[in-house]
Amino acid sequence: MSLEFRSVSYMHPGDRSGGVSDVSFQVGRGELVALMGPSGSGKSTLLQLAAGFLEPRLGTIWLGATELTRTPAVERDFGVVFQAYALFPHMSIAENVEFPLRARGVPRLERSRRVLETLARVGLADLADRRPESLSGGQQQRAALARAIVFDPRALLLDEPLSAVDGRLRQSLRDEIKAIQAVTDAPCLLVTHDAEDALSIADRVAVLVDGRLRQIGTPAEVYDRPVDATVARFTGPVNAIEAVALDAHTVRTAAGSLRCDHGRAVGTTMTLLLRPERIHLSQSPDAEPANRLVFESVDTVRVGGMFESHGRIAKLKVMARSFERPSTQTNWTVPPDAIWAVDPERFT
Amino acid sequence: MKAALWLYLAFVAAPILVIFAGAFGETWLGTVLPTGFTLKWLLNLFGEPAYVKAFATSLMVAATTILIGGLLAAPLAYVVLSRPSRLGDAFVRLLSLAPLSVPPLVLAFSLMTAWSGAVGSLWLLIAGHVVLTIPYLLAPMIAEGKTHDLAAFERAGASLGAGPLQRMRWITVPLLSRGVFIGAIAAGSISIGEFQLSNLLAAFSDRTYPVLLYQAFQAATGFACAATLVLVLLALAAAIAGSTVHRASGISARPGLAR
Repeated sequence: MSLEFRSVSYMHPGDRSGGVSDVSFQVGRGELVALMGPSGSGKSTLLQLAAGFLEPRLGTIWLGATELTRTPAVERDFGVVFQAYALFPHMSIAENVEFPLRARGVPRLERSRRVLETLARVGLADLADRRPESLSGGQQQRAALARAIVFDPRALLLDEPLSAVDGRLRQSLRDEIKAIQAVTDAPCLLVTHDAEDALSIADRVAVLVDGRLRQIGTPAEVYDRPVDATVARFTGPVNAIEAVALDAHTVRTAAGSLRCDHGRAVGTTMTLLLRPERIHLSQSPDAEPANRLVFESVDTVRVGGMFESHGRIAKLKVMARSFERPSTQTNWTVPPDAIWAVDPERFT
Repeated sequence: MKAALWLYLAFVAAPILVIFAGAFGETWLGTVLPTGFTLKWLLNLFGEPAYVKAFATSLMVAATTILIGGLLAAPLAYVVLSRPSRLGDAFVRLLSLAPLSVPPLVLAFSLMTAWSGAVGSLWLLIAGHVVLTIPYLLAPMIAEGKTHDLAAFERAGASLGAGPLQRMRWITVPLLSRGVFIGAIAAGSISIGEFQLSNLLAAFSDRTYPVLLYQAFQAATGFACAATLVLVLLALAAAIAGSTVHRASGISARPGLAR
């Protein structure tokens, strides 16, 4: 069954930020959708609406053919992993995981069997009798996940599940969430403000800006073909370049004319989006026929295994990423298919 | 710093030790400490029906005060904790501070004026004690609840399929139990030791223990010390119970899930 928002609107009383307006999308059976957006964009609100902690002002929420809009949280059968985990401090890890089964009146033997099974699945079998406070952040996160899946929920909702952990642990937890999610049929909605999390874990990514759904698509679609510059910036570093169409395949920019297949009428203004890692250092000046540019590097810093250079092409400020450290003046090529044209940003 | 601490402890402990000495001393005339050892004062105390009755009255008033106060404070704490709002906080602060800032004597006189028909009734005394002790019941409950973000646990419980009653039994009550217990001890201690309201509001037949105690000191010192000793021991028991509850609550708060 799929989880579906139909034209859902909600406004927090007395607070203009964090509301959502006219949001519609669907999380398919067994699909993981990452809901992403800056803080105050309404992504957590949407999750709370799905969980039943809030009721939409307008619109409806569906699970398959059943409308859930006014169904209280208790009756939704949704597994929720909270940002701060909300593990009950007066219960052991096993008792926490057992809680939803007890609430459903599952017989005792069945309960302990499923608790042990689920704890083993998240790698916490040895810590069953420990209190939450004695566990590390990552372990608590797994316990919360176990508690949310032990009763085979009809949907799984994860609110910033990775925000409290970082580094390698974050990556391994990400993999674990993905692995657990992969074996369930339940639609899974994950809220995150971290683009890397969203793009690496999700089947599809939904980008929310100011309470509105700007774009939903596969990580590749959202990253490579964003609907606008805001989405592009939110999903990763990007150069946004103002341009005017000279013909369907050429534009004029502050860096001179560039080739790109934008398909717009002559004279149309647009914004070109260019990811810094798609700019190439050219080996020889004549190697590439199209979009060969002279890049003047002003500042270069090392970012992991790559070099991030801020500089200029003619009068245009540009950022580029490359595996080799660029010298102060370098020849760069931009493949035409690396340039993505969107409607110009409206500055209000 | 250390010396000051010892001085303070001595200052606090001295009266208690003197009470002990007085309660078991045979004669206490013109000496710093009494001489001889006797149990007669204690035996006298237990043989005096008025004191036994007053003690029973005090315990009854304290128990009823805790019960009524608790029944008022618990839902109040619950509302404040599960629906945090500035207005609610202000209301609870007012409710908590008002009885502390009004001297019990003033409270007694205003109760006597407002409910002149009920003066001498035990219920008026209990009502006065409830007003006096409710801040002490409310504060630890709210403090306990705030350390836990009860609202978040309520939501978690609901999302896991627990109805309001199950959440109350398995989450709210166990999490607040330590606060309830500490509040009950504080309220009970205050009620049992309360003199001003009791002296003015209680009928002769319903005199509470402190009222009689006051009268005892005007008679034999040894007897009065023995009578006071009962309160001292009660207070010590309450203090010990209150300080060990932290460990105990960990166990008692367990919802008793199957292993």
